[in-house]
Amino acid sequence: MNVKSSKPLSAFGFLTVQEDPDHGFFGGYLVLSELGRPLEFHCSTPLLPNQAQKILYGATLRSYVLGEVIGQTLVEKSQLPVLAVLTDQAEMMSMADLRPELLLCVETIPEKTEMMPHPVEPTGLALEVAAEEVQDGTNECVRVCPDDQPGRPTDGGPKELDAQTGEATPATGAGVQSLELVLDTYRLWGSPGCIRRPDDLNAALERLAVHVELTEPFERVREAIREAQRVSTPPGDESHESFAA
Amino acid sequence: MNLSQPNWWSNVLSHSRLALEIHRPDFLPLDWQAEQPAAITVPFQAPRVQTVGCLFPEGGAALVGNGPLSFQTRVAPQPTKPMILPEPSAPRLLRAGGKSHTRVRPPADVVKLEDRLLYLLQPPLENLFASEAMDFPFRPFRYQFDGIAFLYPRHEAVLADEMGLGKTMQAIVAMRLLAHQGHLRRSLIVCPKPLVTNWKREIGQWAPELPVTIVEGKQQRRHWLWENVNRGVLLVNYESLVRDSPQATATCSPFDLMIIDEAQRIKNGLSTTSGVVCSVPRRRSWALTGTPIENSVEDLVGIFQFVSPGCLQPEMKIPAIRHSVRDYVLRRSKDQVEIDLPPKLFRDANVELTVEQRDAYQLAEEEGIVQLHDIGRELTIQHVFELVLRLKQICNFDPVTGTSSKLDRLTADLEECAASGRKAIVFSQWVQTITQLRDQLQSLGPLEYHGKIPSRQRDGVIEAFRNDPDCHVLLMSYGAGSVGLNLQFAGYVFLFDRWWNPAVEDQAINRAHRIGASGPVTVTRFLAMGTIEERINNILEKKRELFNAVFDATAPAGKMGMSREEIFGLFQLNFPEVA
Repeated sequence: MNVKSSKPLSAFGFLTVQEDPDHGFFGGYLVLSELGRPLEFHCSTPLLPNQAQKILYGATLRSYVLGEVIGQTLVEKSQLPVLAVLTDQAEMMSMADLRPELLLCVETIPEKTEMMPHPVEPTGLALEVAAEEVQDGTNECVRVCPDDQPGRPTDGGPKELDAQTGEATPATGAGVQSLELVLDTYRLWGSPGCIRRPDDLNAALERLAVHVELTEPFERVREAIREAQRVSTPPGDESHESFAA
Repeated sequence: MNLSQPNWWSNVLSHSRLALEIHRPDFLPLDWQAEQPAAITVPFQAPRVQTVGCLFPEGGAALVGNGPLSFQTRVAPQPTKPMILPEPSAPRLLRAGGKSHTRVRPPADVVKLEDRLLYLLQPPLENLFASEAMDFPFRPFRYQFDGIAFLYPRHEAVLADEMGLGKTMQAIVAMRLLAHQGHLRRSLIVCPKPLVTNWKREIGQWAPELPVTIVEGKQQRRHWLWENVNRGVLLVNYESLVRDSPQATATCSPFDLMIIDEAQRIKNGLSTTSGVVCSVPRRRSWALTGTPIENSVEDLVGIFQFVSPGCLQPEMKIPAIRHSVRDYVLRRSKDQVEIDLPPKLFRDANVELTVEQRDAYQLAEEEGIVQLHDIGRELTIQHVFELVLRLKQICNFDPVTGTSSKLDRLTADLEECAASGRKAIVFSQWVQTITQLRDQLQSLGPLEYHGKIPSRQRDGVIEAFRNDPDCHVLLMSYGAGSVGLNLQFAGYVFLFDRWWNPAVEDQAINRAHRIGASGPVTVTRFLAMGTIEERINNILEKKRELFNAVFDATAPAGKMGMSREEIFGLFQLNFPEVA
């Protein structure tokens, strides 16, 4: 495992995977400065699981491919240490056990509609426990949730599929503390490591959010993946990386 | 570890039998044994992906210790050079989904993947406007963001938006971005003389921190400016640039950016103006024009001598030209950008000449044609033009009595316009016609704007027209008033006589029909029936087809512009060389 030696910069990584029905999974990892300027970028060759792997991994296939194979490889390739890695795909959170970087999943909080007369508390589980809570009354909120109540939303939040039942279960395992942040219109939930310095992380994310819409860099990554694919693939070349069977 | 066959799997397979025993009091003892089913081994190899990546310059600087500090120090980032996104005075988080994102896309001539990615991975332009430190008078339209994103990465570009869509503003903002990023130290803007003050005002609005120096005044002062102003924006009109060509072309270092406005001024590649403009040393060449083709594709070839020498050749066919310029030219019409502009209503005022005008016209035409025939092989296009101009003048006013059917119609329309408190612009190609109109329309408080009005008075004329409620009519010449002016408060445009090509007419009309227009713009095109004006109008329509053939791929290729044969054909004359 390549652990970057220098201390983290005031930079953030944005990690996402684009899926193509013909070519498989393309990964992209972009490191941005706090001002939103690009510092480093890596993308991966496409990965197309074969039938054997689909059967072997079942419902956990995406989690394995995104987090353990593509995500880990891309972050490992990066030279710049970051404060945290952000992803917009819950399956990527499986990388948290493999890399030392703080990992946060970002999602946009849907706007409340008139059909919902009462405000919906976005952190349902977190409210039910007497958790440490830091809130400054403006537009951010940090909750640290204890072991038995992973601090992640119950509606639309990241989930893992149970291979046996097919039901969704929390992506962070029981017995591990997790972190949830609400920054204005974004909800972030993090890997266990995030819990160590929630105030610092929150402050850094808030500085980032002044300059960057937190889900926007993933658009850049997807554009760059398409560009890299367009430039590197000769017309008519359908080759791609595949699992060795 | 042998990934192909885990240890635990091997251990299980080593048992030859599986045993199951159930002991419950309510059940009879059961001793059941089953044969081990046949097993297959699936070799497993951890999947791997290859990666492609790059460390951008700013990232490299950060890696060696010049970058921003980590959050542990709680020190605000110190950028090493001016940033696109300066620190706002009060933090305000960017909300999700609030607006669209305009990406800067690399030009086609950028081939290295790393360079292309650096363009694509830049923040969206909209982020600029979320920052309070970047002060803009108003939020640009979506298509204007696209225009800025088009110009920003290009060293060679033609912004050919239809008149009134804000080419000036787009160029200034793109210039501002480049300046903020340290790519521009000294820029040069060349424009027609009447537009110098307009450019200065627009830069003050859209890039107030950029110092602007107008190259004007006495020769000694101008020369000093050329030699000593080494930062900011130099603003000069075409005539002054030609006059100061030794100083402009012998500059110690190239201009980082050179913008030419109304670029059709250099459509003739053999002209002195073109020669001087093209010889100014520069790193980036941007041309702004609403009419990249006025008469023929040669016009575009001339403009490209400045933008990208060698890209176009005079003998190229229209499809080849269209292919060659596609990455250099951005052209949007008002219809395409879907901005909420009020409608532009055309009325063709087809008038019959008065009896006096008709008599004078017939006499002039008959005598003129006879004279042209008498010239014989010495006949030139200039002779034909002289007759055309004489006939067109008669279509405006009878030279003896001063009667005019156009004036009668115009007076009625303008009185109605003034009564409703609206303002109108009347275009003519002759100062003499404007003078006659001024005398006849005194009750409406007409103002004049043409070549004989001194430059220093022209801004005052526009201000009076804009602000004086008693001034309802502005009489303008096509030459002086068809470009660059913002007269969107005028709801009526009258083309008292017609220009030689439709592009200039469009320029004139779009003084009023542009962003900011508060209501529909009614355009009245006068045409004397059964005269040379009607014949010219037919040729103008063909020129519109030509323009569409180059810039609109869906339109069929039209005929070329007004050829010598067509001009001679106005009077059923044969081209002398052929005769």
